[in-house]
Amino acid sequence: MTEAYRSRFRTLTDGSDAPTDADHHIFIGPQHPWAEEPAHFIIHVKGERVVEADIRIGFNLRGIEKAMEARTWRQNTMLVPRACGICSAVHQNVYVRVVDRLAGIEDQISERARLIRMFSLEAERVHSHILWYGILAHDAGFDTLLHITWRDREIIMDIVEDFSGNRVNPALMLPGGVKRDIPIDKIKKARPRINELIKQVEYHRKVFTEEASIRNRLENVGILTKEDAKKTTPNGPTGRGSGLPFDVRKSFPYELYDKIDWNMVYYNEGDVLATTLVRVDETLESLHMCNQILDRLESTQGELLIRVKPRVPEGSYMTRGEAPRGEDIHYGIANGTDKPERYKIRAPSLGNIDASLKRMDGEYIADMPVILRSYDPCFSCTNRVMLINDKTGEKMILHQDEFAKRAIKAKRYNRPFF
Amino acid sequence: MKKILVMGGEALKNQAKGPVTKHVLKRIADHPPPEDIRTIPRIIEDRCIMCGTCVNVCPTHCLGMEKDDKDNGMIWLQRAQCMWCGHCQTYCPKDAIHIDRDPVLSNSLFSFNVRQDYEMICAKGTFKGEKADKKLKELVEEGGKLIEEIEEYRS
Repeated sequence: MTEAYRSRFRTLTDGSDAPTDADHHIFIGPQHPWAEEPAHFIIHVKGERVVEADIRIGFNLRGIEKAMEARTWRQNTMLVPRACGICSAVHQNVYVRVVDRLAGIEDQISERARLIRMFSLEAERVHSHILWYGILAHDAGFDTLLHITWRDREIIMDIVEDFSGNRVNPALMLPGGVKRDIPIDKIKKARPRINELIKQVEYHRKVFTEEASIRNRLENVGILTKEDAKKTTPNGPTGRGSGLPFDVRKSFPYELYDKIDWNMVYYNEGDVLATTLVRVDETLESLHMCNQILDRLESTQGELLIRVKPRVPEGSYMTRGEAPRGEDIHYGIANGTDKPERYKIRAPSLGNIDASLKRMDGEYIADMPVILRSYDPCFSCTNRVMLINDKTGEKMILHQDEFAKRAIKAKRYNRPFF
Repeated sequence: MKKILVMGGEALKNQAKGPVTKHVLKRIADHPPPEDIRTIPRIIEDRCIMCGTCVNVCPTHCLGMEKDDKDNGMIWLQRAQCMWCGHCQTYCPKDAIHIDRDPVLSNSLFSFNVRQDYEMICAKGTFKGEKADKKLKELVEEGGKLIEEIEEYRS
């Protein structure tokens, strides 16, 4: 890293760490009407221009990884999707692939089961992207588009509910295959609705590319150049909007992504509009993939679920998948019993924070909501317990009581936490 | 190519249509939840063999099993704790669990005053002894789907 690099994950509360040329500091969060999830942004401004921005996350620690160590591999199949509220299927998919590999049945999973898994993933990508660009329009002050996109989102939500029995937590996947079949009458019912949604998303694309009131808010705002993007390593649509053509589905294909006809979307402009159009185009791409998968499901037969023993043999495996927000990485260690020894989740939003803070440099304060939204913030799935003393590099893992005790002492006697 | 009032047509259409909320009740009636929606599980007592598989796979520990000295078992369910994942249905070797399509959720789920609502007895039966062995034998003859699993849990 260059000398100018300064970690964006810290700002001392007395302001002594702040950049010297800033004259005001604006604090957003942890509780703020803009944000759905708790995160604390510190924006250093000079006049109306942003000098730098910092972030603090970690307000919503739920201890999912620790809870997973206390449950069996089978129970964890239903706990893992709760790591994120929106991209639940992709967490489950990556988890299931970890268990499949550890149990050694990766090759035996039938094509039909893989297709159903893929449908679940793509449907999730569709509803997540539509949700996101609806909220983006809301942040840009264009509420009409918010209402229209969310109305159309209900189409795919109904299809997911019909196929899986739940709207946002499809939970179709299990180690060894899938839980439910998609019968042919449901496919017939779903296909006209998907085509209807394709038309609607094309209309959304037309609004984003043509309507002046939203384009003026997004175009040439928060530009992340390709060089900056390479330094700050964003993943997912944030990176693809800045000209980094990287998609786990294309680069390291899993399930049957290499056997289905689809194009990777990427733009070179790097502004917020490019990130938006990546997601809108990806929604269309995913809907076309959904149609292809349904076509193939009609002609493919196969066993849905292979038996996996509750005790997973010893070993460890890391794998990743393309979540709607970026790259989702899971690492599991099995010790031969029916419970995991350790399980680590790297949620996609964490990789995008630095890049989108880089975006803010030199922008107007009025553009902050749009830029902050640009990487689809999802902190509650990002927050994990890891305490690092940034001066000494000391790493600590504390249990709840000690953590609370230290925090209370630090507050009461006004002394550092470490 | 920037234009203004791209959504003008949509706006006019919405003006003519009137408020959407007017038709909400009708829309809900037109779109009932799907037949196989996942909600609270119920155990069919006649089919249950008290193997305890559902208790073991439940992620939220909402299913519990009580045993007494006379080899009698009882499975109960904490309704408020259930997250409707349907795991118990998937792994049940005897297909003894069916998932309810229960549209009245607000009354039953969140009324903690009545103990009956909170803890619901699902099934009673014997888990050892002649009766249970007979049921297990029936299952083996039937060619149930997950016979090996029962042996793992039935210890």
